[in-house]
Amino acid sequence: MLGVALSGCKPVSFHGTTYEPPETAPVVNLKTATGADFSLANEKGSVVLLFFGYTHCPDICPTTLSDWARVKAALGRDASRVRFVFISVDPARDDPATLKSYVSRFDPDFIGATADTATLARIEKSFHVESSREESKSASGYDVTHPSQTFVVDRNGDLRILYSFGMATNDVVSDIRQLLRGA
Amino acid sequence: MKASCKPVARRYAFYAVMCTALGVLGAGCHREPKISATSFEVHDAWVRADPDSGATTAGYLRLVNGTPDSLVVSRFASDAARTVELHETSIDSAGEATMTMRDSLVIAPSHSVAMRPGAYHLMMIGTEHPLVPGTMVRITMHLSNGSIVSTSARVKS
Repeated sequence: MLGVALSGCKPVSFHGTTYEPPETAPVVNLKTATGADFSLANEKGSVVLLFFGYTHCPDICPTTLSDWARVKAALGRDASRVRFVFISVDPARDDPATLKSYVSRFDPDFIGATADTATLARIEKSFHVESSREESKSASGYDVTHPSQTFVVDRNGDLRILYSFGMATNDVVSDIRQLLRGA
Repeated sequence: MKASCKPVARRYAFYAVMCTALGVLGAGCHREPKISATSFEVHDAWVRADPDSGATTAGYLRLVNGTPDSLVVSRFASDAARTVELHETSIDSAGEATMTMRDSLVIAPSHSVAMRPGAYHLMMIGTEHPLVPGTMVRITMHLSNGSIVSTSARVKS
């Protein structure tokens, strides 16, 4: 009897770094690659994955979006209740067409979005991260230092999990399913 | 599959330079001190797919120096991209990712260097055509000793 009672009190355990207690997610208002408005506040009821990157990034960003694509595929029908949002921190080069083409390479349902630099700076600050333009002698032009993590917001609009770069697909899928069940 | 090798250097004619490209992503992607090779070998070469011509993507491979001398790769090239540069991504304790262009890659004797996401990678700028998963592209390495080593890299998503 006691065992049954205790089993109902099992603490939630995630694979990523957990926000304990959960934090109300910052205000995130962006313009998507299709020209639509995106507001994180309107996504309550869905689990939202957020990443800050840029389309000229050849390594961290495509690796993360490829990871996301595997996560989405593994989620199956549950993926319809998950939003994958790539926030470009390089609005000077990432015009809507570039951004749309880029995120579509990985999955047509992925949302590419950005804002003006002041808005982006405010959003990043609220997530306690930052990005900066770095001059480079590369033929691709300047680079951008940016956060490598994925932020996860639950169905109530609370920040719950932070994944470091290189997350394991099965772990993320397991965590998202917990969040979708209301964990 | 075998990677083609054109050893034009004088001294490395003694080392029977042999290059193989397995086309499979390898594990343990960092500097690995213990190797059994007795030549310069290229393994696990792959390039990330990109459906857009003119885009930027990344290539990864593992270089094994089984010779008794340090080897320096001074330039990379590919038939799939206008420019190929060596870059290194580093992630600090706060999770901030920074990319730094490197002029060359030095591989100590009996050591290997493995490129992988989040570390060394080849930045392939200005893709010549869409890179479709399952196809192969050529990556060429110019060594400071004059050798030119070429390998096939599988395109993967």
